[in-house]
Amino acid sequence: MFGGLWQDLRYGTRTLLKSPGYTAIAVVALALSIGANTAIFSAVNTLLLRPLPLKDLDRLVYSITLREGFDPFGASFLEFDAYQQRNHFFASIGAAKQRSFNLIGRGEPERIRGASAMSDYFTTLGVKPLLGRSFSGQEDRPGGAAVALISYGLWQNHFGGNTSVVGETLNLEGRIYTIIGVMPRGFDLPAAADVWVPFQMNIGSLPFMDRSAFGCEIVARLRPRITVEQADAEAKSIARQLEAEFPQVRRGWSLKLIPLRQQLLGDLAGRVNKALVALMCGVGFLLLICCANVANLQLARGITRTRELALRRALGASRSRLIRQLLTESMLLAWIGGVGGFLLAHWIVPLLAAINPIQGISLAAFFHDFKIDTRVLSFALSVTLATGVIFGLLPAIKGAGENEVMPSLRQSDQHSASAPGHGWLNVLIIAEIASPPTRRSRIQTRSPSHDENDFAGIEIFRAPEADRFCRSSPRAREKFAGYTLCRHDDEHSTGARDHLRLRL
Amino acid sequence: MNNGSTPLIHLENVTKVFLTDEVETHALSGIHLEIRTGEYVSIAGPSGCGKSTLLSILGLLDTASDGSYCLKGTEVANLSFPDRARIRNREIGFIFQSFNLIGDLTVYENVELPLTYRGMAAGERKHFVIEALERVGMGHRAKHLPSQLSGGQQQRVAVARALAGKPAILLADEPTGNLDSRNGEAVMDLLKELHAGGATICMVTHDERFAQHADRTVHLFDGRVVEDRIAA
Repeated sequence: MFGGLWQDLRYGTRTLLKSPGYTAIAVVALALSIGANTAIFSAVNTLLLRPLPLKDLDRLVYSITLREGFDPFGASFLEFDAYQQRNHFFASIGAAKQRSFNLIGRGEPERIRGASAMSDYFTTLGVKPLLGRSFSGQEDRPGGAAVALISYGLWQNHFGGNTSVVGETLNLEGRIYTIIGVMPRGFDLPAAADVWVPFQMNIGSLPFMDRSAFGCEIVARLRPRITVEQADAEAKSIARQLEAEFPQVRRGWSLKLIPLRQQLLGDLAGRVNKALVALMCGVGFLLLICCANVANLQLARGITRTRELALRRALGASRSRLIRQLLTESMLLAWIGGVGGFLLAHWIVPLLAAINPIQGISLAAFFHDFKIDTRVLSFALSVTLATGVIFGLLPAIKGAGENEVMPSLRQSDQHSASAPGHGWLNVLIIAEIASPPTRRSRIQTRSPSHDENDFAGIEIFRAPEADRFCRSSPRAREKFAGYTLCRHDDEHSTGARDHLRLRL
Repeated sequence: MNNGSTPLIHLENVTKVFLTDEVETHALSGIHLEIRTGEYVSIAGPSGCGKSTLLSILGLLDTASDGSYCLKGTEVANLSFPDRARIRNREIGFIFQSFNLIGDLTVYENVELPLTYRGMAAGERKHFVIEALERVGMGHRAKHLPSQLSGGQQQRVAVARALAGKPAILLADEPTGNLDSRNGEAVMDLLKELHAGGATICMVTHDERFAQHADRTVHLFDGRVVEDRIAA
């Protein structure tokens, strides 16, 4: 089987090399289509599919507060408390508040971004430190130890990636914190935090105005089989309860839960997802159009190969064997186009990253890193395979059809089965059909005779179009000595049929 | 040449009717024909008498409208396409008027083609191909393309391709039709040699001179066998 496949590949390569114009057009069209699909898919992969350093991201939601006429707000501890007390759909919930710190004692003083985070914030996100541990419940209580988690970037920049960083101290705002862990590479929630300290506050004991102030970030993990829509409906119900209980600060305010990934993309309305899907569909459609065009080219070429395919069948090739051969040729073309498309995508992807309008602040290391990874490569390979099958299958089935073999084999020209020449024939036919009636009047009728292999009927000798064509093209002059439009009494079908003969 | 053995080919009451625009044309009517192993039969007749239609049916490239066709004692008239392709590949070697070599394949690859479709191993194929090419005196041209050969040489390669798989019968359709008289004679001599070596050959020709090369000539007229003559 592999020997046959190798033969098909060799023959396919020769066939493609023999028609460089056709091959170039098909390869360029395929490369553009596959390249566009691969590039757009790399964007979809980066923004929607690639795993983030968060566990079961699809089950994480983010709470925003809405009021008509205002941009969405962050959450308040009032809501956090309400969620904790009344929600039935969350498996866990955590909050954090963005902060900035003055980092002192490590070279020049530096302003760094950070956050006060509840210990549940990290467990809810499902993120674990790369080194050390996260905050314990004890450390998160008021009066707990002064401990800190640092980001991978801070660890690299200020501690040189030293693994004995755990236990070292940080001077933040004049307070000494003991480093208890290093977060994984790229993790920087909320915002672009480099350092996290425990929240260490009892929400219930906060003054009401502090509790109702916006500015904290609430993340929650949905229970299994609970949808975002269900949880959102309950959040809205809680918002109505808060409005009734605290009308002085909550009148007109509502809550909305959105998937955390959507929030990370800065896409509160959920448009990015739809836009990317629409874009993907667009380039997918482009690929289908390309497939249709290449399939048409294949079908047109199939006409010139009718005789060769008939011969192969006469020699014992089964239909499936011929389909395999033609599909191998299509797949070869698709692979060349696929490689071209992949190279094109490799060039386009950095451009896409540069013009990417989605500039999320958090997890930028992931969302801004457009690259061709294993998933994109698999996609490109799958698209290439599918493309080869889509544009190759129909012409292959048609080419390997079970119509009569003998008439194709008995076409009485002296060319080899797949030798060139049909292109000139097509040009001549077009020229003849397109010529005005006065020119066609030169067609001469001849009495039936039995010379010239029993052809009889209408002949054109040196039709002006053919003559001009011959004079203008040395290759044609070299190939054809004369042209004959024949009415051939065909032995294989009843009646006569017309066709053009080229005298070589 | 009738050696009295079971006929290699046995046609009984074979008819072929073409239907076009509600018009029936009887290309073959009630053909009875037997060809035995080792025979050299020519089918002759004027244009339109049904020679090529008969050859198409013998070569399993077309099916009869009615009648029975037994090849090596097996009824093959109503086989499926894949079965016909398989039998064509194993039992029948074709020689066409216009050579029908594939221009993009070398001489070697052209001859190898039917063996490839048979699923033969590469080593075995090589042996068969070289043997066939040597037999027609084209071994030195194995790497050439058909376009680099003369018409006569191309037809010799076509004969080698037909021979390579050691088929039960060679079917030749006007094998000299596209050759000048010198090359035509050379091909006819080659067929005679092959026959002398034991090959069974059935050749269609409208040229009475070439028909006489065969041991037996079947004359067709209007789709019927009008004469079945064994050479003296």
